[in-house]
Amino acid sequence: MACRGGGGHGQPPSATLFRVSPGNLSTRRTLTHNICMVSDFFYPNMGGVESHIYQLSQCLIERGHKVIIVTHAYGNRKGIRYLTNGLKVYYLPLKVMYNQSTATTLFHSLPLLRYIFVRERVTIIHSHSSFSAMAHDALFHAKTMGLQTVFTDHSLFGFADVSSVLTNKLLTVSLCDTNHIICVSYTSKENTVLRAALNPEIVSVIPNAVDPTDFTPDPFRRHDSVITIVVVSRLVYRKGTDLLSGIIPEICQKYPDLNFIIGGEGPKRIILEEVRERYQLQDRVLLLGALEHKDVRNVLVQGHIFLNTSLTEAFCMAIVEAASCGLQVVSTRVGGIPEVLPENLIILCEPSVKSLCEGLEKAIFQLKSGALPAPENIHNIVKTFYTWRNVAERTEKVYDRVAGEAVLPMDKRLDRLISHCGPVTGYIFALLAVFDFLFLIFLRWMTPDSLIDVAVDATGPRGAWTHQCPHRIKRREKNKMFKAR
Amino acid sequence: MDACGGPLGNLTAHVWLSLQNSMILSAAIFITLLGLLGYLHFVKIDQETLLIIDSLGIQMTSSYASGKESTTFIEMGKVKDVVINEAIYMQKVIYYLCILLKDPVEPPGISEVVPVFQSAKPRLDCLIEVYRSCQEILAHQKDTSTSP
Repeated sequence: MACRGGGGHGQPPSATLFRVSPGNLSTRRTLTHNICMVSDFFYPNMGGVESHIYQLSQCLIERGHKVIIVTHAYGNRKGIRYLTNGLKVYYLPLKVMYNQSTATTLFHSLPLLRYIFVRERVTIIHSHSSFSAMAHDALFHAKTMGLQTVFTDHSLFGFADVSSVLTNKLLTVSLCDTNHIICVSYTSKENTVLRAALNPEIVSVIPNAVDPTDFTPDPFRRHDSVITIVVVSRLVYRKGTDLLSGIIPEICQKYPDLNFIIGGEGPKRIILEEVRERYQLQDRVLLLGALEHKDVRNVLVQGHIFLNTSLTEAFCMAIVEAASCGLQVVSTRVGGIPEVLPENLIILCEPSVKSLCEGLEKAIFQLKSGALPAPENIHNIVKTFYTWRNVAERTEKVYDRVAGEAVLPMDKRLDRLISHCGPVTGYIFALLAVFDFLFLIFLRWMTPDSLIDVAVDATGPRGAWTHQCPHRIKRREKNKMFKAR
Repeated sequence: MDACGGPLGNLTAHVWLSLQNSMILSAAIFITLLGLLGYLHFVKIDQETLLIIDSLGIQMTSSYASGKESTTFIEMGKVKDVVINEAIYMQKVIYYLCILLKDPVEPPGISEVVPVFQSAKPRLDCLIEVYRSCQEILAHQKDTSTSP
């Protein structure tokens, strides 16, 4: 492994757009990219963005690309670590400000990010989530360094309140000179295009996926004498927990043979506990608290009907997971949800207690009359819809397209900022971009690119991990180490 | 008397002032010298040596600019392996060589990681050379310890 790294010094220090694979790879592709995923959100933090980055990276590695992930340090987890298949993760020691998002001064992260981009010979920066300050920082620096940039937006946003006005402005600045943007649903694309005033041609829609083998139905786990409604979501305002607290008493009064199982934790848990107390439903409403991702399936298979009460959702992974487990899904008609599942697998309602109760009653009626398809059949239909391999393939097409495009040179970038982002913001950020550029020149003078050791590739066409015995890499408690005997 | 006392008083004041000045000055020089000596003696490392003998162990010597040497010795029985690792150091990501020590309580585990060449921080190509020779010696040591 080590000798391969030594050979890396022969490469030109300038970032090559792509490398030609040696041809001994099983994949037929000749174009491979060095991709760097940047986001504040990664494991051990749990959530949709985290699993999206992980799964997408794994599938891209499988397709012969080199992938690294950059995120911020989580407690004691800092430094460099390797995950399955040699996926390299940099946990950078940056200060966390709010909600696992790092503080940003726009400049302080440049030295480390530049060092990583140079030593890993990154050609494409792929940032995730508009809530992540680090993702925007990385985009900003990558454009200064002349690297290709891709951004994936995972959430929907409003236009009216102060915080969204500010975030939208920031997003406009950040995305106006980004090469390509990926959204998870058409609703999300529409939303992002409007928020960031983008040209819709550079926005692609690639949905999320679920691993269908993780979510298989198990009809023997549920009791058919009672109907069980499952809710799995974080108990927060956005997920419509207030609606849920209105639905529970109404449905429970109407149907005596019906139970609720609620998985998830959050600030709104207290109102559910109040409802349970007030209507004496302790034995019928089960609150499980926070669930680990691996336990979600075991909870889902205990139910007949899955209820989703989200008020806003770009692409709802939870309903796909539930449908994959063979549950009838009842959901609110918001955001990208109507695009996710075909009409015969989902009952859509307005986000109100009355409409959701009607939807549930319809589902219960269908269940009692035996009109619902068997869980196994639902699973077989759903498992073909969203797979990570498909997502990776489509993302790869975006990379191929981006690799052929030119990165805006500094003068054009400044023009774009000034003309695109309004007079005040435009000039401020153009000035900041100039400062960033000067800072980069200073850093290049302090430590020239030629003095930076090229990292040993763990993945990709020259990946030491995929081409040599995997057992040589052993895990240690603090770091993972190389060895080559 | 009067005519003479004035200039004399002036002179004493002048001498005292210059004396005071020179005292501050000499103190400053003295402290700087002391600091420099301390720096050369305790901080600035001129040379780092890694000596590995398969039947004995690993000796790491760092010689300071003043000539002072500090030596650490790890006997072979404690050494588990020598590896190259990556770390984030200041605003850089660097490779470094380190020695893994066996955990006496739990044999397959590692009790400690001892970094080598901490001040020199050689680059990867140099580390690989050192690493290869270390591995050769370690492999030889393992052969001889298992064969009889």
